[in-house]
Amino acid sequence: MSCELCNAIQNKNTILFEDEDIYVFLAEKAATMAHIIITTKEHFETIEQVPDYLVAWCFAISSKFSKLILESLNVQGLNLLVEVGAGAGQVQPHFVLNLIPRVQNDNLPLTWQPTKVEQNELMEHQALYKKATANRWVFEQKEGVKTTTNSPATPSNGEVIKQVDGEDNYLIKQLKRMP
Amino acid sequence: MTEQPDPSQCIFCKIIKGEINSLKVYEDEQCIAILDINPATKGHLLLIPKEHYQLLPQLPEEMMAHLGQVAKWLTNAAMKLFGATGVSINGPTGGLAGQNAPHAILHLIPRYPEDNIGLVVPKQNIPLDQLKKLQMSLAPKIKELLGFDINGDQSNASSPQSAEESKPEAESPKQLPPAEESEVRSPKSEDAQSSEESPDSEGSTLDDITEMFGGSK
Repeated sequence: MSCELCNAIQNKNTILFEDEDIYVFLAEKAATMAHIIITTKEHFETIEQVPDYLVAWCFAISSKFSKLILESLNVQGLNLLVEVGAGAGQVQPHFVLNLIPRVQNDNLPLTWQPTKVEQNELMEHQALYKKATANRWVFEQKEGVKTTTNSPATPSNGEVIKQVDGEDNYLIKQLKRMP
Repeated sequence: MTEQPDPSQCIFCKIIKGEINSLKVYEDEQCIAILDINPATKGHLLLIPKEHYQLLPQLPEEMMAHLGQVAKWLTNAAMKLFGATGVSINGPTGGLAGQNAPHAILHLIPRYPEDNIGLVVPKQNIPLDQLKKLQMSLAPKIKELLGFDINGDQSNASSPQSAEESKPEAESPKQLPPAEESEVRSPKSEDAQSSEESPDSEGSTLDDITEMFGGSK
């Protein structure tokens, strides 16, 4: 099959994790070393097609692997990036969540220039969005699909890296070394 | 973002509390979404957890899961409302990654033809043997955190690919200070990163691999 993601799922060359629904691996065509990809085993072309509960699970798993990257590797930052649509750079028609480690001078073009926009234009955009969000959103859930890894080895989610007594936790200390 | 992380001074916490004005477009119990007043492109949203976390990886997993779902729906809305040809969902952690506020934020940036902003993920080919080394180095931690055995799952030899064991990526002259960084890792050493499969030799591999970052430039 011609989908690179489906092929990677088949080959399992650089697998890091999988379950019935998702597959996590080290990218061979990558922004940088240790670029991790989280994807659905089913061939969904964009995030719009991915069921909400699978989007949720991918993001939950991304949290785990983000911590893994920051803890295990000498990196100074990380970009979680989802390219939705060709306009955002999506090349393979298969939903992908990228975790891209950052180091100094890596020259990755993952920034942007802020622009100046008139207040009334912003308010127009706000009005448009608010129409779309007017009704309460109810996300599709599915029995048996998780939204947390709940691994017993880790303290309750996030607790280990919450600040204690105003002291910076290790993640922040590590990232503070950046200019 | 490297100032004292005092939540009471956090601009986004003040926005969430309503102490500072914002152009809010979405709100639920866990998060809000507001327009970026200095947007990258038209319709640029900031998706913000209500609880104060300085970095995205600090969020509880369920909260991250929730943000992902909201991001999906906001992305759909952005594409329909603004005729965008795509949306970049970008969660930067750390100043180097583009994080410029001490509050975890997920950016939703609609994309348009010739918008001339960055946010393009370049792709280079990483040699498979290096990835395999990295994979094995991470295996113990993955086993510990997720109960998943990479080795146990490797039913497929994949050795044909290792035939393309070309020279490793050209060494980057950049010297990251591994000694300093390892101080940061040591608080977590209780997680027995080096206990199971004696990746002590792999410890140096992780440093070597890190030095190869950014080898394309």
